[in-house]
Amino acid sequence: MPVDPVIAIVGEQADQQTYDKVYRELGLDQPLYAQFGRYVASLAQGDFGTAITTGHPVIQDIARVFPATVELATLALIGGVLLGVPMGVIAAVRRNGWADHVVRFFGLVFHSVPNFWMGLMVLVVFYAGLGWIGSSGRVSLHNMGLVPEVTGSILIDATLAKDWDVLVDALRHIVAPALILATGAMAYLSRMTRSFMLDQLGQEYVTAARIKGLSEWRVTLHAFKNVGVQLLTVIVLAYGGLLDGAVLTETVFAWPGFGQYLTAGLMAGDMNVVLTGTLLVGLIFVTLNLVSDVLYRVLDPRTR
Amino acid sequence: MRVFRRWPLATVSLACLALGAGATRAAPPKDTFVIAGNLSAMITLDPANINESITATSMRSVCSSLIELDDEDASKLMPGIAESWSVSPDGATFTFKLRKGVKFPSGNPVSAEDVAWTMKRTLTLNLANAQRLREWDITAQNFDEVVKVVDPLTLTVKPTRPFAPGLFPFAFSDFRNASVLDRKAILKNEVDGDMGRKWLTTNSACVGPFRVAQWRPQEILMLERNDEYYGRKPSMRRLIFRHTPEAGAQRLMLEKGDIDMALDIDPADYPALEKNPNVRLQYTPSLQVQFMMFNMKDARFRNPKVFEAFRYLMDYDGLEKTLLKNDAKVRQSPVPVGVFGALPESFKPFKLDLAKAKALLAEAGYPNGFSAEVAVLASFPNVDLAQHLQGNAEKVGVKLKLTQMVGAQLFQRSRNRNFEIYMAGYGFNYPDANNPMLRFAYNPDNSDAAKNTISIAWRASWDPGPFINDTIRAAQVERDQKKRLEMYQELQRRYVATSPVIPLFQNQAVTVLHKRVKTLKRTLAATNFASAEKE
Repeated sequence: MPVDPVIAIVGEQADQQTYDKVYRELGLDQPLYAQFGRYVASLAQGDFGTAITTGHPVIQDIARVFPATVELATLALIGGVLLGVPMGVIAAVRRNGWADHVVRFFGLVFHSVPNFWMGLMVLVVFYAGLGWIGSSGRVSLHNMGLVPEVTGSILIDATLAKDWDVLVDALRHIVAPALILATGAMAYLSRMTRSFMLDQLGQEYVTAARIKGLSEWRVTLHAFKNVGVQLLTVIVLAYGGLLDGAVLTETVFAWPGFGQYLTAGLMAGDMNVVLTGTLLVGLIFVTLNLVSDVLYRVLDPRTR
Repeated sequence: MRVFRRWPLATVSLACLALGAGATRAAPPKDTFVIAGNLSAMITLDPANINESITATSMRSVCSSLIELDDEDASKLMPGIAESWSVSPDGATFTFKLRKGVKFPSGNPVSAEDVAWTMKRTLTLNLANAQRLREWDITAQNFDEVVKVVDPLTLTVKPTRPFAPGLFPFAFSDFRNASVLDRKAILKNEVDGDMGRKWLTTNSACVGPFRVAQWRPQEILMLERNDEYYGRKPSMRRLIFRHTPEAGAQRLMLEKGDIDMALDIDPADYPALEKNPNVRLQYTPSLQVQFMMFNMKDARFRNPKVFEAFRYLMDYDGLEKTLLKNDAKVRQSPVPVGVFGALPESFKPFKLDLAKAKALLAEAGYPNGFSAEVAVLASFPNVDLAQHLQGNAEKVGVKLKLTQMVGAQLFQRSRNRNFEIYMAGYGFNYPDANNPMLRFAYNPDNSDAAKNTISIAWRASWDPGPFINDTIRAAQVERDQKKRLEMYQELQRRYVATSPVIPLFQNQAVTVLHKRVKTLKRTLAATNFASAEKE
């Protein structure tokens, strides 16, 4: 391993005696297959190990950080879909018109501009400059720990507790990271929607519909219905990408989510965190794929 | 279609309006001190296991030590949990008298038994800071003979050698090896005889000006004033360390006034912050030095002339004036300025001299130079210094390849003696020359098998020879402070003439505060958050 997890625990200034002891405690003196065997054996019993970086069982940590990421990812996805899909449709309908150029331009910009930089710029303008949004974290310090944790989503918890001050504060904190993640999803979804729509608009049934004298609005609606299924797959995949944790965005906004947790573990060579995190990411994708397959069947009669 | 065309913009503006309507400032209350920092390295609250600076900085306010360093002049020792200490006439036994009536947050009284148990625990469990006691030959094996509880408020320590009375108290001046833990509370939470190791990772049971109210890893550490503390009552009721991994975000929060102090400001931002009337920067010399070292296992660096040549490849003064400014001062001895035994600040025997470097290399048999790898810590100012060295080395024919690494990666290389040239910083523990000398110059067994990985001299495969090794040990038991001082000064001169571990600069600690912070005392050794006062 390039990073030494023992040094992360004992520090640079520990003597060899202490170093060796921790080395053995972590089981690093065992051959790799023995280490892996032990890991798989405890995994089978539902034991994901303890995180070096927090001192808590990894599974407990993930239960703590994951809701924050789900909350952020869900809002970002909603934003991304609400912005990206209509933009893609407009771009396809007005192909090569100015609207198309504008959509494609923003698609390219939001796809290329690093989230990290955008995050800082948003903080500079809307937090430091205008004071519209909160700085970092999920709520301001004075609102921390005021609403009881029920779901782990502070927006829902604050609503349940009917604590509107906390809710507004939480909204002010989530809006920037969610919008920034949404722009990424928007860029992706608008480009995909555009190409799906172009594909449909070139089909013969569209020409037929136009000949029949259907309004352009109805033609578009008709074509849009037919891209729904494809679009769903893309949206589900985008959600998977967001749930992996947006490391850079979470870092800039000190969002205590999954991405940050995983990175901190990675930097410290905390294998239990990295392995469980990877496992979870795999699980998310498998589950989302399954969901999209099921929805496919429900939405598309041809697949039944 | 018209709706489509308009709505994204409309929605965004609506959202902004809705949120902007309630725009308020979130400056912390007057009795709360908020610090933004990167807390991801904070992995334990157990004093005996704390090694990262962020945890050491914050938990120092929770766990006081037996003896404290004065918060104006760190080389002065002050009473802590021990209200006094004395040495027997023969110099062999140190007696510590504890304060009366000190209580843990649980209400349990603090006793000498607890103090001894705390130290013994560190050694028995062999935790990260056990070496801070072993450095004084206090080990798990000899502990019961060396440390004795005389009565509930008296403790004696009879070290294996009669350490100098001016030196030995420093052994008890750091909370990481000399705080006192609430034995009874900890043993209640013991799991399989672990002496509370698991429990203390996420809980705290110390005596200090503050106590831990809440810790959410990678999110927040909240400390509350301990109103029963024996010392001066801090004017802050709460200290809050808030996880803010991004330095740019820390700066924005400070400028906006949402926090009182930022721990990880990018040094490139100092000049801009100096101009901001809402921000105040404090510069304090620190116990950290920047250094480079050459691995003497490498045949080329076995010839002292080769690394001698590199001493002349650094434009020390130029770097101090341009790159480092207030961040560091030229320091060519391993003993930082302000430390007992240090050579004067004016001690600067080396300066940039390319001709001399070239001549030394030619004498050593490398008139056309050579190629080598520099393993360098990937942070300011290490990389910048390495690039500077690389530029000058090229002028004398030496091609340097820089490999940047993070700490846990780089330190592994040096502890395994697996590098050619190495560049990083190193922080000493207490302001007495004994500590820098032990770390940088003491290496009684240079074999690979010795694995004396704590010694930087060993890491560089440097055998300092009997004079340096013996003098370091002799100075430890020299009772005459004046003589001890002279011994260290001689040691430093010899060191500089022969060592492949080459100190370059002494770092300055930069404390970045909001201007409403009136006082925050920081010394060579540490920041004292209990001293914080705000307008």
